[in-house]
Amino acid sequence: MKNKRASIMQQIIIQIILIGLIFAIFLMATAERANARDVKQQVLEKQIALLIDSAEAGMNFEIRKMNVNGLVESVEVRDGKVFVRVEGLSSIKGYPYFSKYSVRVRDDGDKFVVSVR
Amino acid sequence: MKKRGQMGEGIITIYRLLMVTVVAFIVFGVGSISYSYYIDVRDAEARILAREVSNCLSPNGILNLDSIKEKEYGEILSYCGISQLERFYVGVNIFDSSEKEIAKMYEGDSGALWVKELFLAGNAVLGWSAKNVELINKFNPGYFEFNHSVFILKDGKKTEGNIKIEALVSHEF
Repeated sequence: MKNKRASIMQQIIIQIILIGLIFAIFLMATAERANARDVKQQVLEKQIALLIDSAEAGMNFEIRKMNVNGLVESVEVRDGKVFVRVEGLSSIKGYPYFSKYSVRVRDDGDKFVVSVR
Repeated sequence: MKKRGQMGEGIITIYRLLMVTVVAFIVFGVGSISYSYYIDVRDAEARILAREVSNCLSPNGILNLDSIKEKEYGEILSYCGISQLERFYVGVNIFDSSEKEIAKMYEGDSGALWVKELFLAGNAVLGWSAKNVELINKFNPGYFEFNHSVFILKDGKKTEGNIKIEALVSHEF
């Protein structure tokens, strides 16, 4: 009788551990998703596009490579779109801007400088 | 006999562990594919767009209608040098001091107006669950309306008037 109780207790403990593990996986997955590289990339591309759109001719702005959104490896502007490579994740679609001015990006050591002319 | 039973239980435990791992991986996989963030900046874009059109049409608070050809009334974004026309709709109504419309300019996808009205009226989400509303909300265009007074220069005469600019920005996907 005692052995049977012990066995049931053992099973319950194992099940509790398994449920705990699943919860831990879910929590980790959610945290990972919130800090995912594609989200950081989306934030950076949209922020840069909005800055370009609202900039007047002659303005420059800088993007630090060691950014709060991760390591920015490249910033490119082509075909009216901004492409940002963050922590090894290349941008496929980019984000469009509509500024009527010409936009250039240059690598300047620890930062990228975006010039609106 | 007891040893055999213990072995059987051990195998069942391993089998259970494997099943739980498989289920956890499936849930994690499906979750990471379907749960994606969309950062909506369309309202901000609509605001910037309206400001750009306003600066283009009345740079110093003076709207020179004589300098804009009538055929350009339907190509106002191109007139202002703005690209990405497929995502935008801009409508400009110009009124004189007696609130009479004297000119109307526009360009872009006017279908966005219809979608916006659908969302404003609530017809697009009527009877939908909160989750489904969230799913279709990404089709709700960014919107900004901008009214201000201007001096209008028409046929060489300078009069007071008003300008109303409506800017809509659709999704980029």
